[in-house]
Amino acid sequence: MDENAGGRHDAQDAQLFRDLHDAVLTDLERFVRRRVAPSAAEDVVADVLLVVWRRLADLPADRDARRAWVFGIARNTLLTARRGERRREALAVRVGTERGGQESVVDDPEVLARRLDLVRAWPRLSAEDQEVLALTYWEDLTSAHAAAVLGVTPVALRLRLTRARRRLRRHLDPTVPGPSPSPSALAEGRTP
Amino acid sequence: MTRTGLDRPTEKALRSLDPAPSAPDAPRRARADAVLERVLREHGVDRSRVGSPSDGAGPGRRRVRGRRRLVLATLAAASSVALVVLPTLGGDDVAYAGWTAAPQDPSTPDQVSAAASCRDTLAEHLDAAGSETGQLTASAVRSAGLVLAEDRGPWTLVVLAGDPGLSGVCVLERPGWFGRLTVFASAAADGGSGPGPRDVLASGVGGGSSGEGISVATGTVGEEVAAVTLHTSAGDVEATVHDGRLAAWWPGDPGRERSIPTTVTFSDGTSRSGTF
Repeated sequence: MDENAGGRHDAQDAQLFRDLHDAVLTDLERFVRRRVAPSAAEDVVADVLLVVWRRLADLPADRDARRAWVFGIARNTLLTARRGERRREALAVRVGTERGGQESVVDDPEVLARRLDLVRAWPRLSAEDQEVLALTYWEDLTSAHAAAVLGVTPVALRLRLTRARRRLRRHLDPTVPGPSPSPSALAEGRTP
Repeated sequence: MTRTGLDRPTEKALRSLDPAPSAPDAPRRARADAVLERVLREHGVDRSRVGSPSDGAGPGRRRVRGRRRLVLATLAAASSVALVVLPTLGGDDVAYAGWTAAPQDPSTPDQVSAAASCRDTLAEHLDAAGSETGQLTASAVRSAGLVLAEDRGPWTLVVLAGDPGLSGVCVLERPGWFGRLTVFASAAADGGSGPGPRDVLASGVGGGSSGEGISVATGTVGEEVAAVTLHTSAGDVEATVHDGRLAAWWPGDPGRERSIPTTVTFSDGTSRSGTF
């Protein structure tokens, strides 16, 4: 992190930071809560905000790109925080429980059944697969912005997403042919 | 992005399993706002743009400085010059929950850490103030020694002393995610003479009215002074007396404390009343 980037702020920057905070706080909180225990989320968000403030000069102009930029900072912050445990290239992502989750009221029996399957399948995915699926279905990012968060090209992102979907389908239904499990799937030990 | 890779029930089920709540509730939102203010307060001031305490800031600057006020203040008549750094408090930060009228001794590492933070805060602002503070310089603050430390709940007060006649005092929160939050900091170059054996000399009662407000009392005491109790608007506050120095702080605007009734206890067991 470039500390000097934080040394040239004025009142205009402060207002820009406030506006950005208002615009992305909810999404940032959700991004972090998907990846860490709720008890740690607020501290992480605080740390991310500090980095955002210090790197404000790099803020993209486009609104959606700003959101992805903040997510990228949050992801790097989390990866850095976990460096002491073991160097990781991807972040495991939490999943809701059978009775919880964002939309706990689901009345379609097929969807309810699939929820149960997903809760069981999710921990078997690698962190890399979880990340790309979460960025797509929960953070609702375009491939370009999801790629920016992960620091890969959009082409690589789409490839990862395709593979992650296949592996998820295979976990949901072992009879479905698919790619081999991701190499780190067993070692990563996933999510609460 | 195409999301056609999952069938509709699976995609719907996956979306419904998002573990994150849709939006922060009101308390979390309030805490997040407090974090925002803390980032701006603790890290948002470019020292080259703060200006000296006497500069006539325009409206743009005033907005920044309003979150971290830097003012010259007369802490004591004997002080030739004094600097007070008073971060504006806001949100959840204002309540001094856990403050205690009786001080505790901080651990040695906490004392050292708090003193270092105090030096950094004062030096930073003295650098910004430039020549306005005369002999009260950043280098003098950086070489000042720790002469008194006390804890009151999650806050540590430290008093620094150095040449020429320099004294500094800071009240700091216990370290958190951003390190230590400085609640109050001041420095003064004091040319006054020392106290007599049973004297209590006030260096100053300072503080600020932002947020809940904070009052900080510092002074020197004679060698026969064993204890000092300040009868303040916040109740009786037991000062820390150590090695000829006195310090205490309490929640509340110092404007209400023009003259503080005081009970001084001497080493022979006697006591007398006075004002601070």
